[in-house]
Amino acid sequence: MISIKNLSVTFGEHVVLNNISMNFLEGHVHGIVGLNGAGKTTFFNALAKTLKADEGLIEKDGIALTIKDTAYLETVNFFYSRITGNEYLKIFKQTNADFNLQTFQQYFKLPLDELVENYSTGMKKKLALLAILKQDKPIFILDEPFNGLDLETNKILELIITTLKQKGKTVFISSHIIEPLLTTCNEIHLLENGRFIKSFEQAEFNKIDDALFGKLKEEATQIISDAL
Amino acid sequence: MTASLLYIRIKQLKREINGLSLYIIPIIAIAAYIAFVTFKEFQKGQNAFYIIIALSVLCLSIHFSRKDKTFVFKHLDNPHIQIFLEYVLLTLPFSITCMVTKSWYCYPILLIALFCIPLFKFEFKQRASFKKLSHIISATNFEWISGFRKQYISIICLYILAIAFCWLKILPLFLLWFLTIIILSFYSECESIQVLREGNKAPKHFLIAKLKACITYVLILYTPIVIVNSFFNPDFLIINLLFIPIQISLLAFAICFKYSSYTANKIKIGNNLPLAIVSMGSALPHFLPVPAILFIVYFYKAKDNLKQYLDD
Repeated sequence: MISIKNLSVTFGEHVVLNNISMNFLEGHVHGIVGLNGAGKTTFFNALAKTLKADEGLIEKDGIALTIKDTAYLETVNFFYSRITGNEYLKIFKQTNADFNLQTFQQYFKLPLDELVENYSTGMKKKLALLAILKQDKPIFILDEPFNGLDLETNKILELIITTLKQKGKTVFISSHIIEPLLTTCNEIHLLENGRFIKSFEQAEFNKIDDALFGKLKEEATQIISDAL
Repeated sequence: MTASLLYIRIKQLKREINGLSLYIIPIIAIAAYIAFVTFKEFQKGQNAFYIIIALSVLCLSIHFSRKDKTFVFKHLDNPHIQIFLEYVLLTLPFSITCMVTKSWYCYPILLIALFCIPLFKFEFKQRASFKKLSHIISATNFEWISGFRKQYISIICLYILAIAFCWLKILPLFLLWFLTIIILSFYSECESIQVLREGNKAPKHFLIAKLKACITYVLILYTPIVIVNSFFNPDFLIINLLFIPIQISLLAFAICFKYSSYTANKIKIGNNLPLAIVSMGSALPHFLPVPAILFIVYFYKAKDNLKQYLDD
């Protein structure tokens, strides 16, 4: 069990995560959804410990979560200039014994001998994903992993997430597109104004759209029809 | 709007000036000095034409390397004029003074050259040279791989010259010192948090590993030249003995300076000026211990800063 206890993050006056307390089952895929500014990336940053929370605890089986426990794929990936894809991958030690680059390359087809700065957004995302898959970590945090990927790779990514789940890994994913979350997640958690307001089991996934966009649709329908 | 690109540039300039804080003073002083030197040269008239060529080549190289060309040509009105105006403003402090000298005719020539530069619309795509570099330099020392690819022409030329003249007094040391300045620039980018955390090292061990790798490469590169130089110039033995530790302390300072202000995914352009000042100082006898002192100070600052990224 991954337990979040009274987690708060503020930037100046702005409260981004507001005293969150939540339990996440291990070995499950957890989708995190919310409108823009809900606090998804900040929640992931706190989970991956790339930012220090003002208050609160994050525990795994009752022990404080450590940096070693998480692999984090950020929304935007940064690469040192004039480095090839191969060199970037070599930076990371392979701790996942099952990882086979050649197999992934059959689908990803990355020009690994070329400089990463010449890669498209989708190619950079695939390279960053390969780097984290090389590592054997219990928790995978994927922030907007489907952004910029082509249709085939989107499907491959769904299969990767499913395989990680089968191997007992805990996966946290956010996405602006709900569909891939519906096929991969065990639970989807709705984040609003820095708080988890509702969690949906697979049987309730059909209610997510209303929960997420209900208020927005209500407000915007009339405004847009007036404006157009 | 024809001035929209200039408007963006002014905004960017203001942001950079704010980021540089007091370091802007020496930059302005250097620019003013160069403007003064060019004015003097225009007055003499002998080198005026070379200055105009240098300014044109500078703008041409900026034009070839800029990555916003596609955006500017696609989205801005009169892109050709906007880019031309940008180059005119950039070269203005170093060229306009010729109008009040006998070299006045150089200014219209410069304007014609600058007007032609935006006609080149293509963008150079960087090619990966030395693809097997990670067989020699470990991928974990990505700063060296990246830096070597960026500057390999200067690095190879300087090193060959240092070897070729290793029997001479001072010159090979001067060339190696210049090489050190190039190596300092390897440490101006801040890697991603994933790369930083690879190996799960504590801040102190992380810094020591970085320092060890850098020292190893410097020793491999510099020691043979310094030994041969000492053999031919035994009267310079003390200078030669001090040379490598000074270069190492300079590079050690650069590494600690980078990590003392490390922010993931950022390029620390503002660090270049203090590094340049310290490296210049390291060539002056009275300032020789400065890099070593700064290294010790910044080692602890870097350790403190890295705690937030590497400690649980």
